[in-house]
Amino acid sequence: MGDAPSAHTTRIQQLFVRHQAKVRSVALALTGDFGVAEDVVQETFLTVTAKAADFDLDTNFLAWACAIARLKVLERQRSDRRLSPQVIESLAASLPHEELADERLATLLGCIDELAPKARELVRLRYFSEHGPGEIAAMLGRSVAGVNAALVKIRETLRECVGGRLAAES
Amino acid sequence: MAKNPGEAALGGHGDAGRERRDALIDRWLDGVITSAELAEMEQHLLESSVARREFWRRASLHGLLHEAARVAFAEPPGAEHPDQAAGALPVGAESRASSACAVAFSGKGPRAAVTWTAGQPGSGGRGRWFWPGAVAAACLLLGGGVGIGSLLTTLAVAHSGRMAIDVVEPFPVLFEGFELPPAPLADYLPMSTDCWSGDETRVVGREAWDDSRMLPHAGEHMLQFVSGHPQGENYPGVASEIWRFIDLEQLRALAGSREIRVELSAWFNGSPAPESPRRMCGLKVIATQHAPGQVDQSTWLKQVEGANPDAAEAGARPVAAAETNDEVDDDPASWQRVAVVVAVPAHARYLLLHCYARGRTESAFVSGECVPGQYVDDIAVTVEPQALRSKATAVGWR
Repeated sequence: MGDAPSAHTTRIQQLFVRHQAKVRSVALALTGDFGVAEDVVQETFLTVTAKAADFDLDTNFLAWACAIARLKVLERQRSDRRLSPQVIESLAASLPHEELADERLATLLGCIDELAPKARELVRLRYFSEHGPGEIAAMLGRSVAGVNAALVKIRETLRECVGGRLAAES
Repeated sequence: MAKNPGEAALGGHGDAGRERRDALIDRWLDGVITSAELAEMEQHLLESSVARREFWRRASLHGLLHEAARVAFAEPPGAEHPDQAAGALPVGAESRASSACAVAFSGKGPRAAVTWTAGQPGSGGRGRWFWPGAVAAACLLLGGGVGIGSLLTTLAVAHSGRMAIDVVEPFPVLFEGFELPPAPLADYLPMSTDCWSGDETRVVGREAWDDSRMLPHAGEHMLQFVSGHPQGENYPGVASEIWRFIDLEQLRALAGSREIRVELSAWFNGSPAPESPRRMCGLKVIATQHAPGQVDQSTWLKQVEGANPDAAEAGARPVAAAETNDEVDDDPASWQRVAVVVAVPAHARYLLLHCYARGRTESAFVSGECVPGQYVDDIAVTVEPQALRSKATAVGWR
């Protein structure tokens, strides 16, 4: 039988589960790579767990977890195409700390449903299958620039859709 | 004149400069930025707070899209997308199980389908974490005896060209939204796997709105705790609870001798009730070597109630267990997610799931219902084989 973690550690793990989407989002922003971001999330979880005893439940868990994720990103300075440590620190200092509301996710899902079929397929290929624009371009027989432009336009459409719906509900 | 250097860095070109900055951020997020462009973007980010805000605004949507896509495009087992060419597990998923999976993926809310990930670090990128064909493969392993309305779904087995199974994505093995029969039995602990049984409960739908201003967390139905006894007798302060056994044997075909990490989660809610005490809800997972019915029921009951002296005598000491609970507020509009995580060693054969609601005081007893106005919905179990034994989650019997 393994060592029993404290209730405190279990609580920390639950907090991580609750905030994992935000941590993943931060990791994705700072790495620009789905796979690396996922690794950062995994490593962050293990570190959060290992250091659970250091965390005071009365303080901001999300800020703490994101700080650990930032450090994990900094530890992964291997690629040529990476943000410099100064930029990561600067971005981390300006990280908005609003929580990722489930409502935003639900609203975004509704907006995705309303996309035109081709746009929806692009979202699937980019964000579900995690293909890069170059791969998508090859698969669809389009130019990379065209795929990039389409993704930008789709995100703008979705941003407006989510904003509009949330404003209408509030 | 620009207020800060970052604005000046836009080159004084106004909208064109902002468009350029935003395009750079988008190219970064899409992984197509060049070294020169990266340097240009970094200059903006270092010098302009506006640029940093815009970066996070765009990155936030990028991350949210990633989460949303996991829900929106999750495939029912048995289906494969053209771009997922890798072979699927030879599981022969049964149509019954497949339809249950489809219900869960398409008929329930997004929160139900989002699973969390945690595993072995340093395993590289996506290719080593994810076997695309297997995502659509599974609904299977424990599927033989699973009831409609619950679900055993996706097995995403990591495959990196080796025979041995590497690290895997967490995969759901149970999802219970109480959308379809059978409802939980009112008959103490279940005597077989893959069915809910316990105290008196009732599956209710949107009609509960009239009485309690309560709507299901997702879908059309939820489970209402009614009594602390299968036949409706009431005991002050006694929980109303349901249990379910899951057979882990077939999971071992994937997990081998490794420890598995199990997360049990559920959404609880409570409505205001006159004379109602402050109320609690909770979840427990017990890993055991004993089959349903193999251990005297009273022994299990003592275990799940936390009094354990008879368990050792009966040889029924759990392999591992974990429990969590939380106070239920009186706001029907807010569903509360409760989750518990336990590391289950390889020699455990069954999981016993325990889901309960109780009044906080011993005098909790109101007009025929010991747990007035308490509900649960979307109970989920997610399993993740561990590559290495995790120090994080091993939980012993308390």
